Amino acid sequence: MKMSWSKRQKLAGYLFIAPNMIGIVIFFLIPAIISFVVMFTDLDFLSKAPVNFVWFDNFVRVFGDETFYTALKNTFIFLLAVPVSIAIAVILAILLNNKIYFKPVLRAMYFMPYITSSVAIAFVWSLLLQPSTGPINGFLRSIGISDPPRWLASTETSMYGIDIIMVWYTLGFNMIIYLAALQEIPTDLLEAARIDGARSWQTVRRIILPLISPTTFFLLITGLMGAIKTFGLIQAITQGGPGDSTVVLSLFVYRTAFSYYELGYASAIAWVLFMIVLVITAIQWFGQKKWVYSN
Amino acid sequence: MSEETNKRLSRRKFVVLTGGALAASGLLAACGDSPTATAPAPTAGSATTAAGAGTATTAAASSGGVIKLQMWGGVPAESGPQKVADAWNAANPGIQVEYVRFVNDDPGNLKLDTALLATQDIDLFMNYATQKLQKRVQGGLVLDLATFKDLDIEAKVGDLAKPWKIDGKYYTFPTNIAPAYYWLNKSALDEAGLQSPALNWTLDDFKNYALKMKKGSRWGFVPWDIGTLYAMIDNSFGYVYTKPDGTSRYDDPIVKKTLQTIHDMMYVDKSIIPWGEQSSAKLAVDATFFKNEAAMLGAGAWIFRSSNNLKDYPHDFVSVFASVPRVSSDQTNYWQPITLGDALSISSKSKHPQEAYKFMKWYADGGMIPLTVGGRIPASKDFNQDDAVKAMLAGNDKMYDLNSVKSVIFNKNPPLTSTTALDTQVSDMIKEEVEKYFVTPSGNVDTTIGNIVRRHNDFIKTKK
Amino acid sequence: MNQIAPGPAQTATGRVTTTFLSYQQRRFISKLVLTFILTFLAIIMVLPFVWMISTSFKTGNEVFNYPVEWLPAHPVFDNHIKVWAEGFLTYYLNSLKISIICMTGSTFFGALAAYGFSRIEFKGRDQIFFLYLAMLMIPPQILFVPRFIMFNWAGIYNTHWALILPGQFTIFGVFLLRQFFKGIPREISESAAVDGAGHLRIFFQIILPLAKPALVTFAILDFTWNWNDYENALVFLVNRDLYTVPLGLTNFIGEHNVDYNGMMAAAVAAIIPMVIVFLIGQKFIIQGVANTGVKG
Repeated sequence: MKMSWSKRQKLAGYLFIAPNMIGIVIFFLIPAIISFVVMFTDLDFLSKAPVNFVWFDNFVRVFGDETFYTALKNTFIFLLAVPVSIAIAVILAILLNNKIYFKPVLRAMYFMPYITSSVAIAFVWSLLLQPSTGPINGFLRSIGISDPPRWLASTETSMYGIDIIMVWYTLGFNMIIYLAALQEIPTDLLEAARIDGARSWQTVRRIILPLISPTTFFLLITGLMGAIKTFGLIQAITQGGPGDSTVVLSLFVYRTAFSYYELGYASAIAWVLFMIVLVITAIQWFGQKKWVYSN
Repeated sequence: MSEETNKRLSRRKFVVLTGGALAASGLLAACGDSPTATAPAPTAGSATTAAGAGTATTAAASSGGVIKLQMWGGVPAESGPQKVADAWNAANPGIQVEYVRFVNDDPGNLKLDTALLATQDIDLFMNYATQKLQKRVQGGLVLDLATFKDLDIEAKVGDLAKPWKIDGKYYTFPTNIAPAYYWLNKSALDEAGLQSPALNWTLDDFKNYALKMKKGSRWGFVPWDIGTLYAMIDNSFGYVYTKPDGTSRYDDPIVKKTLQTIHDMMYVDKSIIPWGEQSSAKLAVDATFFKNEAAMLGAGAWIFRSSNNLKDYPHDFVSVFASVPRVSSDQTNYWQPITLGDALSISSKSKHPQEAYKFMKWYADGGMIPLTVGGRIPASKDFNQDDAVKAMLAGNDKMYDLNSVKSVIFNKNPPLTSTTALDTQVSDMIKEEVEKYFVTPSGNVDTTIGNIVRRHNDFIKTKK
Repeated sequence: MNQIAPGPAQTATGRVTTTFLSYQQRRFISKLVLTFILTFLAIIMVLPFVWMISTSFKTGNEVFNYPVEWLPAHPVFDNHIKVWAEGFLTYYLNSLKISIICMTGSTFFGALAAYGFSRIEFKGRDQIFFLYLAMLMIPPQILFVPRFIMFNWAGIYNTHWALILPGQFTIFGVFLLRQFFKGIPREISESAAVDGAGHLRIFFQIILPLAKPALVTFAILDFTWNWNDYENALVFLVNRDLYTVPLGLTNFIGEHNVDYNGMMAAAVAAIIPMVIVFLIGQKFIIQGVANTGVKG
């Protein structure tokens, strides 16, 4: 097996990614291509009648559909949870990486939301956010806010209620990824930061944050992608209500496909959603040079 | 049989292909890249581990001449269906029925539909919404019951079966009367000096009752779900949702009157708990009624399961029943929501349609009686309805006002002129708009109606 | 990101106390205050979990008593007994089998691909990677029906294969691991390459041990995803003996009500393997630090 270095590199590269890629092609790419074609048809999950190519009719319908715009607006409000959760998670991870008591127990506790049954999450958070009897509004009233938000009970605030729950839910996930990233930072740097208490905030800003910026970048990209695809949690908590005030695009796709069986239309909405994520991701991707540290 | 083998073969092919491709690439990576490494071929290893993991369980071969039928339904097996299957199996050793429960929500129905599409195991299944049945018929999954010459659905269960007709044919046998009605606390009625409501009471009467019975922390009325709060609109429309010119009928004054009255009851009279509070508090509605925290409950027959369970729902008052109020007293065509449900169908892929049919008839004519405790009354004329009511009350006759039970459940409706249900998309949209109005204290009813009419008309246009 | 306060405890106690406390005392107090604050937040994190446990020991309507009784007045074990009496063990074993196989496979294949994407220079690499990313953006709901058709055609519908095969492949994992592999200094692998080590050897002997925290992190996450996977299991598994834990949980959804007591008893049982995996994994993450502390 004699070949040039670059050819060998190329072969090696392909061979390393091949096992994963074969699976991705079969289980992601091919279904995606099928759904791409379906988008131009009026396919219904259970219709036997001949399927017609309606070409761009589904898109015309998407952009004329009021629910689409409501869902789009709700999706953007929903996405606010991602940077907030990441910001809190980075603080938590740095603190939890420090010398504190019960460290392993605390870490596990922060991860709990991620593995708690969504039914329990929905139940408990509904009670916590209950407008008249819930403890959160009780607290707000006790500090002098006489007319606290009605959270999930009002169309104006329900999406922000969902945001709070989403931040709470994803915190543990972001935190453990940050914890893994913090392990890659040379310990002497962190030790130095700890010894000089007065300058520890400086260390966080000048050393830790830049060093873990690739992780922040990663969490932002995947967090936004993940949030845009999330519907299970919202389905469990509000089913999109009250009214359509918590219907996000992925829930809209889910309903159209699984409740109404309109696969052609659902695919069209999903591909519009895809384009939105693509644009958001591209902006982040090309913006990364400005703030993401690389060695 | 040959289809079964084919399936197995292609499964093996698929697994071998995927696994093989993986193994090959793993091996290549090992030898092509680093000749010194001792090619562990880990990919191949894990592929074979996985190969031992699959379980092929599609085979449902009938052994020793016993025919096996599989029936899918939405009621948990322990709430009656298992007893039904046991009773049948004991009486028919040659035809054994297995009951499989699916959760009657969107994912659950999707599961049923994919299973109907992909397997031949399901013989009988329950439909709980005409819209779902319609999709299944379109998909060719349901057997046309005209195959069975001796069956006359309308003779069996009456005109109420008509909404279940798809394209003029019966693909299903509705087995159960599923009326919606109001439960009233007799003690609260007496306290307020009120009589049991008349069968033709109106929305204004209802508002008045709720206001008078509201007392302290007790609400006047609690609805089962949001649909209960505006069911009067559907009852007034009677399956006709568009005007003769094909546009939405939701600008009818009936709609405004209904929505506004309920909104006033929430925010002016404060006799109904504001909907946002109820839904966000995850209120257990039946418990609220039996704990005397609400004087009236808008629900249906399924409450009997809680009502007869005096251990978990202790209460000492008598329940009185009332029909759903009409919007105005002069409505001549007001249809009480007395519909037929639990529509049993036979899969078009069933290998034993005759046996399935035999079971279906037995089920409808009284085999389903173990389910009456949960409020299900057989729709079939061949079953004595007094017996069904007796079974439903489960010996707690003293807890119910018997006269109102029967008059409400067997209330006679005027004949229907149309039987096509609203598209799910439209009924969901209406629910959304109404919900927005009900959770907003300052909500504007005209805006709500404007939205409903516009979105309904938009939908009608896209479906043309 | 820079505007975030450093945690009120540190500055507040730090400034007030600097003048009259020794370094040791200051450190002890800040450690204590930090622990206190983090514990308080952690309690909010576990509230629903505590509710799960408490509900699983309640009877019937006690669930709906308000205010919530965090300690059931008359704890009962009936719910837990009922769960295990109703075939939950089968679901449990199925879930374990599927989750472990998927976790192992996807971590391994994912690490291989991540190595290729991060540490080998070859033509088309970044284009392929961007295609990967793009596929991560597709809403999974629309992949269901095509997959259903494919699986049905291939005959793996209604078998565990329908979950195990797709579960071997991860895009998220490749992205995550690639990110971490990129952080490992080039010099380490380059010096190995000079010594004649091929990519496979560098991968197994240098990169994998160094990236242990990231690998374990991904494995933990992947395990929980597979363990909690409801949609795929729901659609692709029909026979009861193939059911996984999330499907078992739906048994507690009644026709009109949810049996919260029973469901939470099952959910508590369901959460145990994930907690174990997390606790074991956490140990590895920390050990990983100890072993690879000499970096940079």
